Amino acid sequence: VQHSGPGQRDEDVEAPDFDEWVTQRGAALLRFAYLVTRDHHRAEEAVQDALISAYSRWARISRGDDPEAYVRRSIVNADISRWRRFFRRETPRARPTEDTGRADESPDHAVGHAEHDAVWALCATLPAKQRAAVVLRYYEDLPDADIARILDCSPATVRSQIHRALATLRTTVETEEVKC
Amino acid sequence: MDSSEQLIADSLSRHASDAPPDDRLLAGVHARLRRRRTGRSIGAAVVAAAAVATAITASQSLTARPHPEVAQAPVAGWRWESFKTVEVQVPASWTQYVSGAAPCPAVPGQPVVGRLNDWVGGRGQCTASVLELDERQEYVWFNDLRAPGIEQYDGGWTEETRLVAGVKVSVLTRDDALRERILNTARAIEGTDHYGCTPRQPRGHHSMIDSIDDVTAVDICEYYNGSLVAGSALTSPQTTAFDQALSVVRNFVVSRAGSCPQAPHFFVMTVHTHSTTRLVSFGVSPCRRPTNNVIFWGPHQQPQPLSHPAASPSTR
Repeated sequence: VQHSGPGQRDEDVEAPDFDEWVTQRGAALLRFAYLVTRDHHRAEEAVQDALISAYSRWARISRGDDPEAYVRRSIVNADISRWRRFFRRETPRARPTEDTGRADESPDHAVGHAEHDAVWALCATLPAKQRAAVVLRYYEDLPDADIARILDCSPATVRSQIHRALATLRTTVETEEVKC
Repeated sequence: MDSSEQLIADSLSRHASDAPPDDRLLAGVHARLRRRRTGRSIGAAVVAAAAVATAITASQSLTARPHPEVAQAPVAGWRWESFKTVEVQVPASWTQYVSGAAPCPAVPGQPVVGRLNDWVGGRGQCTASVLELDERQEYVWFNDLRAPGIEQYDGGWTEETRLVAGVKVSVLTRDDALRERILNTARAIEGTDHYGCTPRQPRGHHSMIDSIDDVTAVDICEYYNGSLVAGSALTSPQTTAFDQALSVVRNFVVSRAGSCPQAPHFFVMTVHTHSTTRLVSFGVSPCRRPTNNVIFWGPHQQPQPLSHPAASPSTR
């Protein structure tokens, strides 16, 4: 007898078992949560919170077409709630364009890593929902409609969020380059 | 996608590899769900004692069994085995206990109850997925390294692994009906297992015991790193059961002065007498593990003079 969510005994509907689903999707959820929260502990906590919330509603959620959207939405909301609670207390980070390339890397790779690290750091300056939209677009490669379902907003809002996020990132990069 | 967007995609992809691993995710979720359900139900009665378990000197009485919800006696000829968050019924005749990764530690010729305990370092040099036919034996194995699914082997042997409450349960046998029957009994431990053990090590106040008369039975819960290793019950008559339980702990402990790097084992014993139930706990920090690990003979069974090592748990 597989351990299932409380409503899993409804045998008329083929729904994924909670444990199996978490086993299959857990790593992806943690990657998503980590990219959104940028912190190991917060990522694990956000995913656990989301899954615990999903567990009690598993029968309904798993019969729907996309349990992952529910869980990802919960992860984003958990991070936003925490963000509000702690007045945007982010994890310590390097200055956005600080060169964090390692000394033993070849110049080309070092520059590339420094750019990536700078972008990573810049993402931290985005509001949580914008950051989630960026992750869903540029890491998960999801279309606007799917992102909208996860973020519980319209596709137009998604496009707007991503547009603003990109504008912020580009402006910040340009400002930092001028300072240099 | 322009260069800025590509840079973002590359950066996210690169940093995604730093995400935390998912190996403890499911167990963590179930642990939190259990904590929600059970709250602090254990509490006051459970006792914690010294690092070395040979001095047992005080006592505490309770007037009733601490886990009245524990029920469902196994079918005759079967007994419950528990590990971390799951318990499963196995044939009572399966009396050989092994700690390690399947299938190598098993001794040929006897069905095995195996546990890949946390203090065991993975598969080690054992790379075989199944033993040779003449060495092969039936087993149920907790948390072995193989993935959930069904494997067919030569000679009509089949191994099935299911994930139950975050713990993998594997059964190897030629008897499909037996395999199905064992696996179908596997269930998450809700509150306590058949022996009254909680999946997580209980916390509480202490008290020690020097002697108890009229002992009718002793339930033992063993924990390592806070997680349940095994539950068992001794039902030898009168005080023998308690003495036997203490011997188990004494045999287990090989201790020396100073701190030891290994996480402590923790035993909670529920001692039943004709009139009361007493809870005693022992924390032990072995600096090295004895080669005659108690798990080898079965959860908390004395190697001598038991004629049927696992008979007593199956009767409760």
